Amino acid sequence: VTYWGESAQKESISGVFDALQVARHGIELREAGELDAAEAIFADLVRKHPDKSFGWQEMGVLQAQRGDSDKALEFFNGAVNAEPHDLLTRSHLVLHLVDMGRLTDAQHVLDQHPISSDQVRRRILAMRDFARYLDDWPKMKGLPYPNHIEINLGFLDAAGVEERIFDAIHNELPFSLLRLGDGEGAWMNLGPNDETDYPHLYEYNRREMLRIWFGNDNLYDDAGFQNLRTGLMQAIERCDILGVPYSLRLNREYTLKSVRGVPSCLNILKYYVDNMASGPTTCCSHDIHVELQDSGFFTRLFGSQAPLGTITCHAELPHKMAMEVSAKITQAYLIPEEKGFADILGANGISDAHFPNVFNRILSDLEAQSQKGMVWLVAAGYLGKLYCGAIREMGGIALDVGSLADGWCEKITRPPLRNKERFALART
Amino acid sequence: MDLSPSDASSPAMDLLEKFSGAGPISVSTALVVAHPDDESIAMSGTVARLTRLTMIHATDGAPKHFEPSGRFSTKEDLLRTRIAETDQALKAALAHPIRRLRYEFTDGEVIDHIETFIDRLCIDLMFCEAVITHAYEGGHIDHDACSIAVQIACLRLQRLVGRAPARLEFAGYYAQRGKVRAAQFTPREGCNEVVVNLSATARRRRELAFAAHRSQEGNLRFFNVARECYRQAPHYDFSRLPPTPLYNAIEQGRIAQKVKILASAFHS
Repeated sequence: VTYWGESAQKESISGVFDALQVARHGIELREAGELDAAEAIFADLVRKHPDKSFGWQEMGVLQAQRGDSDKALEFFNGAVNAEPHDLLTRSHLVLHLVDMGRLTDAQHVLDQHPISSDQVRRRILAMRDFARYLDDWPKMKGLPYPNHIEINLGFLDAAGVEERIFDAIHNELPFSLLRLGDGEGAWMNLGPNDETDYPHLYEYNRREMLRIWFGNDNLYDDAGFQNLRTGLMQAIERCDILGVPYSLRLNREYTLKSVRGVPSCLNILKYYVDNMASGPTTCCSHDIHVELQDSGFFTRLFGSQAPLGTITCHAELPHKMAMEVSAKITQAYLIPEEKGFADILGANGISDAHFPNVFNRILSDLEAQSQKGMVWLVAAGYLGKLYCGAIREMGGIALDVGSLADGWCEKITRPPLRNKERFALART
Repeated sequence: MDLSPSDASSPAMDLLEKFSGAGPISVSTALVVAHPDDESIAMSGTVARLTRLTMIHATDGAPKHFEPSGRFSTKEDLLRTRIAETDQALKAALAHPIRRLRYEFTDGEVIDHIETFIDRLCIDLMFCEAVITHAYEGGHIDHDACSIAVQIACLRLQRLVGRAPARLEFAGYYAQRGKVRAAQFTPREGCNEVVVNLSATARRRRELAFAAHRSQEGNLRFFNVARECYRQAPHYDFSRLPPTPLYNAIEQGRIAQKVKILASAFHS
């Protein structure tokens, strides 16, 4: 994700819009390894638009890529001088200083930023924590976690996961497959010390996730919602297979210096390695749902005539599953759509909030009946992990299918879902 | 909501018993009505007790060929008013639907789009244990279309997933011996029926809900505010029209023609 400062958002500035297109071309060249050609473009942008941050910034990234940290620093400084009031531009300089091992300087740069609103204040505090997080957990210290899981502990592939699922189905054993991404990672609890080390960073990321899931962050101050974290940690600890971020994903988060991605993904991995690796839970990629789709697992699951339930925001899904793939749908729950994707998903007419009303209603329904042998396909975001945990506790089999449900309903909430054939419910 | 195979009649009886009792009813129930205001006729005194209500309005309450009147100069005015009135009526009835759906068919044309209507019901009724709709009694072409659509959607669901919501119906209006009878059913053998005599507060809610539909006050004054009637929906033979439909011969023809098409599609 590239951000070029606030001036770049104002397309009305004469000449800037064209310059942005040029800059994009430069980035493409840089990413393709054509560093000289890209450098020429960025140098030209800096010369023609010295008061705009984007030329400086992209040149800084390029110089960092060349391994010339000092030169990169000059350009990141230039970007801040061009647009001193833009916090995100300043963040690039801060994170580069952290990369250079100059945490104190980085925090000094942040302290110089004018606080114009509560939102800016929160962002600055989060950035301060994030700078410290990266200093404590640089890439060289973070990447060994997924590498250790993948190499020493073993990642289950789709065939291995399928075998475990069908074993649970045939023997009517409690089972849950849980997948954790940056959203759940943001809400994990690694203990009181960790919480007090980076309080503003975690609060910032948690509030951001709430806005994506529910459209606002009001639940942050809701004790009931905060208490769900205990349930989340239980669901994680007791699951049979846990999907976690893999090394390439974490590497990408580090490359992007993602304020949410790095701590959220790394915290999942740290928690697993430090607390669960010697236990019964096996790991797989958190993209296992896609691997299972590619392997044809769901076709075999639907064909098995195992009794299925769904928890999803897609009203049409249970009917579609019964119609198109003759799945034996015996129960179905509808939840409100994730607000971050409301434009794509459309409104399904649920007027209640997912938490607490719909959530508690579904849980009490699930508790009221035997779940033995029942397979649940759960696509419900953060709260979905809690449904999965509860279903397993009640003897059922819970599969966290996540955005696959969007793909099955042809709702493109993520770029890969554009491949409709790949994500079709009825695969040919 | 459980959709596994079972006898559909007993859940209907259970729900009817609950209606005649008191206290909240947690059965996941869909109320499928043709027009904004039908929901108030159906159960504005009882609806507050349904804690898991899915509210489905089939039409938007505006005819295709709108003619400006003193009250509404445009069709949009009429639509806005009917939506606002329904919101207000639901509020007055203390209805808290967990899901509200407006299918937005044109008033008077539900039968012409009944295939789509049935498809949508099949999707939305998957989440419900019971469904309440109009009786097939000839009161209005859209009411009868609702009755047809719900019965067929439930049959399809039964065939598809082995279980469908229990079907109930509420008393609307019909013609008998040249008179319009409101708030009571055409007598039918074997259909268990309950009459809910509303408490003073429930009656007040019903009055307020009726009052909210100001644009329909002429129609609503025929309805009893002291009681509501429900019964287990019979399995209708739609190849026969209701005894004395209140809609015209052309509309009767449209129903008959569509039923023929649906029957051949269903059995094929």
